[in-house]
Amino acid sequence: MNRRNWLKCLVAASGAILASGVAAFASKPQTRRVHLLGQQLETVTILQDPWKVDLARMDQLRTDRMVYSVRQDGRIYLIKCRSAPAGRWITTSELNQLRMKLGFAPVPDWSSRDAVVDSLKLSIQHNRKERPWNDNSRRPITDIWITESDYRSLKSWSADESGGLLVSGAGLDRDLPSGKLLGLNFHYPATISQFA
Amino acid sequence: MSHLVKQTSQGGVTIKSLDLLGKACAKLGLTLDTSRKVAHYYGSSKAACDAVITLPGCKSDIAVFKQEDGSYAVEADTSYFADIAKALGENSDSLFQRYRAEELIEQATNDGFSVAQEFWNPQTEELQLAFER
Repeated sequence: MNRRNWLKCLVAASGAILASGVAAFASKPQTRRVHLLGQQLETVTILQDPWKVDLARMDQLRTDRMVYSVRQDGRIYLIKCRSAPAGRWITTSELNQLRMKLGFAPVPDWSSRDAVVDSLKLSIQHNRKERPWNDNSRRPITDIWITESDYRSLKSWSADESGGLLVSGAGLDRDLPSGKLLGLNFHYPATISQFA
Repeated sequence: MSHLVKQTSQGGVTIKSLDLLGKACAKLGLTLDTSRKVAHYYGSSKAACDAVITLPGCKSDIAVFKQEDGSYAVEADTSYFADIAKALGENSDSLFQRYRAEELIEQATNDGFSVAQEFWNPQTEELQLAFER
């Protein structure tokens, strides 16, 4: 083996070792010590798949009450959870801060969408099946459709892969953040106050 | 002539546990009978299966088949029997959604929680579950 081939072998072997290390890290639950709500929590373990039921391992977050939503597509969303040490509900924003510290995508805040809609003076059309006239995308139709109150343009919102809300639509009169992820930093409104 | 519809999964949900399926059925007003191995459909047609789901007062059954991968499929005559279609939901989505909820309840129970409240949101067709401990 000449020197050049020997170097190639060395580089390839190093790459394989690095790749296997990364794969092993990625396949295991991550365990880190974090702060939430100004308190030192016990070690928090979050599994890799953000959509798993064991989302944020509520037990280890020392919560005493949590609310989930089960959608018809089988996805389960954590709507909110209450911190026993803090004695109050953890907001989505706080939960997402924790998740992002740990390197995971934020959870969608579906419960806040009505408040978002109100703030943008839009109306929500549940279970609408046809696309807006100006939506030529091939994305799956969801049950969330947003209509501007003046009916001059339509937008559709759907969940993207990270769980954010994706706004789409063309010919909009108002400068809404089309294509931008929304719904990540909204606090809980009282839309599901029946659980509180 | 029957119009059988077989559903192996709905969205990302597959049925893996007959125990949880039985609980899901009970919440929907159905009964899972694991001792029955023959399901009766429209007229005299029937099928060998691994379990049968029945709806009170309905002459047709819902068959449960074990798949090669260990999961379960359900088959029903939803065209002739509106009661079954209503109980299972469109494409059996109500059954699969309820099954998913039972999976969640099982996990929460294992973590020391119990169901404090259930709420069905008819607008969004979401089932919301509150757990406490």
